Amino acid sequence: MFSTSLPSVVLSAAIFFLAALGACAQGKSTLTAMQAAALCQEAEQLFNAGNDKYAAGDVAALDDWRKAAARYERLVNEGDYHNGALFYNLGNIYFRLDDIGRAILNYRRAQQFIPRDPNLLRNLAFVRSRCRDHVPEPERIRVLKTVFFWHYDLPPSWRENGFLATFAAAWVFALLCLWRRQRHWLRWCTAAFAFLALALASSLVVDEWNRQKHRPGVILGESVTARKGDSDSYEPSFTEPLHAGTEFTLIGSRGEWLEIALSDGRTCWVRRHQAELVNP
Amino acid sequence: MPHSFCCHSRFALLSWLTALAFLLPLALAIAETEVKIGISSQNVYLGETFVFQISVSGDSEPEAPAFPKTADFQVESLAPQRNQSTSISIINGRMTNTSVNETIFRYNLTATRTGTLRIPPIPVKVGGRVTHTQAVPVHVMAPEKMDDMALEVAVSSPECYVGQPVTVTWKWFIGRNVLNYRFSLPLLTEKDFSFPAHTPNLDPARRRDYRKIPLSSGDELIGILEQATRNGVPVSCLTFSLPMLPMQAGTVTFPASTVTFSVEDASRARRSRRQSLFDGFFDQTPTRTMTIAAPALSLNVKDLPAEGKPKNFSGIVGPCRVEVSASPRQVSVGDPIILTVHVSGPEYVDNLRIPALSECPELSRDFRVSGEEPGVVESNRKVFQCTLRAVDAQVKAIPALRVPFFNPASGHYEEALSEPISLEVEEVRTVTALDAQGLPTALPSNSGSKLETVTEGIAHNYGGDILLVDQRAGLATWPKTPWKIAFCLAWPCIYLLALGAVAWHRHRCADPGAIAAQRAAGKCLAALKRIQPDDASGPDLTLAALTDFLAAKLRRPPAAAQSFQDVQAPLAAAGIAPAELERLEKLFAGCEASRYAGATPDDLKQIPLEAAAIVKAINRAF
Repeated sequence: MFSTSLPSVVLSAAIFFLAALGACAQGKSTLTAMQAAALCQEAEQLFNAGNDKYAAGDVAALDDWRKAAARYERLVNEGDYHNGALFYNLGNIYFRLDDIGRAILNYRRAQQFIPRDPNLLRNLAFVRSRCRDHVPEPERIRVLKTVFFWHYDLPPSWRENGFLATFAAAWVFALLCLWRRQRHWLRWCTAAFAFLALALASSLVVDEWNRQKHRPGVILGESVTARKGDSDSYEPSFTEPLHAGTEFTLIGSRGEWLEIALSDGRTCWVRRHQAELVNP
Repeated sequence: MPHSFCCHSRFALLSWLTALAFLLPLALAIAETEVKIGISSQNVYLGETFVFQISVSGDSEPEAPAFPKTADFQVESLAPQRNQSTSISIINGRMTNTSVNETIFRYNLTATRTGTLRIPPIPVKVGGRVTHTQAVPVHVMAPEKMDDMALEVAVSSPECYVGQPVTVTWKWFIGRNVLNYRFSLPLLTEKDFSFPAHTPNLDPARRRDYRKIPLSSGDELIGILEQATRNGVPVSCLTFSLPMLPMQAGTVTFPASTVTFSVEDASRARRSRRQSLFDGFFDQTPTRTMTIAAPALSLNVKDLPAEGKPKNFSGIVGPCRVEVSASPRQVSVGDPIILTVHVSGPEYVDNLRIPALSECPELSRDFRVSGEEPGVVESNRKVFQCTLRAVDAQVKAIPALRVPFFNPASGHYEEALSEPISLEVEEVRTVTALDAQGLPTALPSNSGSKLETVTEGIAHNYGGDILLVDQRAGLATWPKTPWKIAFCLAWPCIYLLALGAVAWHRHRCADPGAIAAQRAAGKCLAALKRIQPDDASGPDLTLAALTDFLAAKLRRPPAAAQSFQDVQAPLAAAGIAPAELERLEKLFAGCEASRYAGATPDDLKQIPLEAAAIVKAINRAF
């Protein structure tokens, strides 16, 4: 007679659950590791070759840079590599190609992964200073960035690992509390790690919420007439057009038009092809 | 019955007397209250102010009557006057002390049209009751036309722009002896005009010629009395002027200005019925009150043109000049610089405003502007101050300020420019720990120039395998990294398992007897299994194992389970079947018999087996 005991049921369920999770873990890369490494190496060589040609005054440098950018883009789109240094390199190449919009776009993408990288910060600040439009950041955002510096300055991977570590530590101390009930310091440790884990989890949740709610983007077109509505029949929103590199937050979209908000809160509509989101 | 009738009548009398005692003061109070009205004159001229009063006596704190709204009179309430008088009279040796409280409410009334007007009945609340005064007729006459008395009003210009000052001049030509006078100038209360503070220039040499001009509002102006000629007749002329700023565009007709005065009237000499010893000595000269009005006057006020109006136009009308000064002029970045702006030119600067300096693009580009003040009038100019802070050391000067104004002479907007002010702005020096220790901040260098960082350009690319590390993280990536989910779920499961284990362990430790009882059967069967079939001490060992089992199962000490009689009752109470008990009894007897009488090989073999079967049966039942 077949007897189903509780341990065997639990074990079966765990195996099924992990198998299901494992199925979700499949990525969407169409490049093998070797192909990716080769592309990366080619891009680096082309970029360096372009630098040499530029130093010699050869206009063919632009072609080499474009090719290098294309290879890096393949690593992102086909290889599904999302890496701070990769986007940083792309930003540098687009700056060399005088495409301020795409340069800032890729720097912003790199900033999600290496937010405190000094080279990235310096380059982004420099390229932003070259933008024709200056839209001041509201004071409130600067205050938030100062108070919650750990949310804004630590890479997401650090915060995620920190959450997992503090989460495990909290449970370990909770387990110890089961055996040593009289030890008050164990409880304090449990509470402290639980608080840290909660703070880091909240940071991750806020990140995800911001990713869904506040979708940043960059104007790519050289001169973009922003309008008051989703049609060319609407009046322009500003006395001057927006220029490449102007950063915005997406509010909504209708067909070919995007409703955006500049960093000072003013809103307008631009055509979809004239801008790109940091996280499409 | 007579007794009850007497009781009833006494009660009724008492009731009436009590009521009377309470009501009498009230009645007396009501009877003592009196409301009277009075009017200074029932025949008045248009624009002439007369006094209407309501006198309430008896109530010590009457409410001020509310004068009903009427279009026929302008009403000005005056402060009430309270009088209290006490009188003592002695009549036929009896002294009577009488005190009277009187409150007089007074109103200045000015008729707004000619004809027979009516002061309406006014409700007066006294002592909880409302009494209405009588309606009073008032005959309002048109001001008289007199050849030797006239009032004229003139404006310095028949047309002007909004905000452009004009001078309004009143001239009263006086051809006869005037005893007292009062002007009524409703123009001063028109909200379309503003009258800036004005102090006339007085010539000390002519101080005897200046006169005070009392107004019906209670204010006073200063005028000058001069000799003039009117229609060939020498008269006196009382002249006074006020500056006026029109605030609204359009053609405005000034409301009529009037002057009310008293002159001698010999035709109305008073005759008394009894000749006094001092006949004629104390007699007063009879007077007559008259009012004259100025002819209507209009002013065309033009709106400032919209064409060419600067965005930062602040409303200045008339040529103006701007002078600025700043202190200090040698500062570090961020240090405050007090900028003082002197604006002069317009005749009246009380309401003068300049464009907001914080919105001036030339200033806001290089400075942070704060602390702007509304301005202070100093003699003929208005002084404004604000605080500037240079944003960087590249700032070399405070640029020229542009203050737009409208020039009525040219009809165009023009600008007043100030002179730029040069500044020396130094970089802010960062204080380091070396400064705190008093050490020099920089070691003396023995070679030439300072190494400065070039801020232009971008930094190098990154290379190598670090580009091929997927750095995506966050909650969105968790579905693709299942181990994180499993990790987070595993810990609570481990904790719950541990919690269950600890609880079970504690439960077991709380009842050690139960653990022994659970383990007793296994122990006993193990001991029985170890007994060899040919072991002569088998029955003893069997008995020992059995008694230990029963003692543990029944939670008794071993000594309390040595014989069948010790365990029979508790086993029966625990529900062991009688057949099993019988078997157990036989086993006990068999073991005892084997101890003393020896056992057959068959017994040695069977006794442990039987004991094992009994143990299993009893264990099942427990």
